[in-house]
Amino acid sequence: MRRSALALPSALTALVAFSSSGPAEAQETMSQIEDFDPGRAILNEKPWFDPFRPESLEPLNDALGDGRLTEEAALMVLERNGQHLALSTLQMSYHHVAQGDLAGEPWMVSF
Amino acid sequence: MICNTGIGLIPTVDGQVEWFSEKGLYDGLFLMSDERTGTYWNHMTGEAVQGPLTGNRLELENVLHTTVAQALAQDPETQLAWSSHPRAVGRSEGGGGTLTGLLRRIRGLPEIFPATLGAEDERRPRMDMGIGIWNDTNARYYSMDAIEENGRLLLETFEGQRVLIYYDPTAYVLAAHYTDADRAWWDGDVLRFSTGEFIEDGVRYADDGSRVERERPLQVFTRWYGFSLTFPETEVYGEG
Repeated sequence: MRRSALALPSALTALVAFSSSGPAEAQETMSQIEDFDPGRAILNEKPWFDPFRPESLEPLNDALGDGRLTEEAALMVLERNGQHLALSTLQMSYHHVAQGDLAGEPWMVSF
Repeated sequence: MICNTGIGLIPTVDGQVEWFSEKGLYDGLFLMSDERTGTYWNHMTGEAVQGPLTGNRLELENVLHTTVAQALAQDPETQLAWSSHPRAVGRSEGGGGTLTGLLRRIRGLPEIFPATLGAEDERRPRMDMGIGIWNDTNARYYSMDAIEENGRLLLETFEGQRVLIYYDPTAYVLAAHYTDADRAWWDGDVLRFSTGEFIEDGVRYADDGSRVERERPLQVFTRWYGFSLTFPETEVYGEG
């Protein structure tokens, strides 16, 4: 593959399970970008969107109970040490990047 | 988001947490930038592509695309990170929506996107929806159309491992799981495997009803243009 596959790192082979995924399972990755063409890139000085850096969490059930989310609402869920963290996919369609820590370990989701 | 490449990344470089935001566009995909060095990063591969940290790569992990009901079925204690940013709250008005619904509202690329695209792969339409899976040596794309035409599931072999690609009717997303089964079929909205395992409401169970972990290849529920520009030599299910 021209860019990624030949140099794709061993981390990309990591099998990630809903209940056990996390940094401990992800592996070190390293490769060189050989064909990034800055001539067709848009590189801004300031963010287009405010990243989401949650300072607190709440039970998902609460948002269902007060109507902020319906049962069908799309979520992105990650896991650290048996704890599950959910982000509203539609909220992420604004922020694009969310980042924080869970169970003492850093996480980030891009969308 | 136009490409819908939701994925998890571990935001550390040499053990130090870096803080990221979206600051650019390339191949019609947003580029992230870290605050400390201003390096730009590909958000699907985690590669640093421009700036002082070029050559580094963030570790990747899958995030689970699911619904509130499924997340609570998996873990009733699931915690929510809820944004109070007005624009984020506005996006989720009405209780949020499904991922497929969100994608189907997006019919084309915004005006500034096309100039950032490399040579496009015409094997599929630019905005085709599908799922891309990959490992260190190969990548493969399955269009949603192909999966629907095959009864919403495909049992495939990818890099020597059997993998089930399916459209989850309760989460409204495409998903991929490794499996030892040689056959799978729908029983209503329950996905059953020849091993006796089954997936119901997004939760995978053993034949005795106990929950089992779902091992998954790296995957994105995505648009063709984004996946094919990121993995130019990707295989495409049903083509060659």
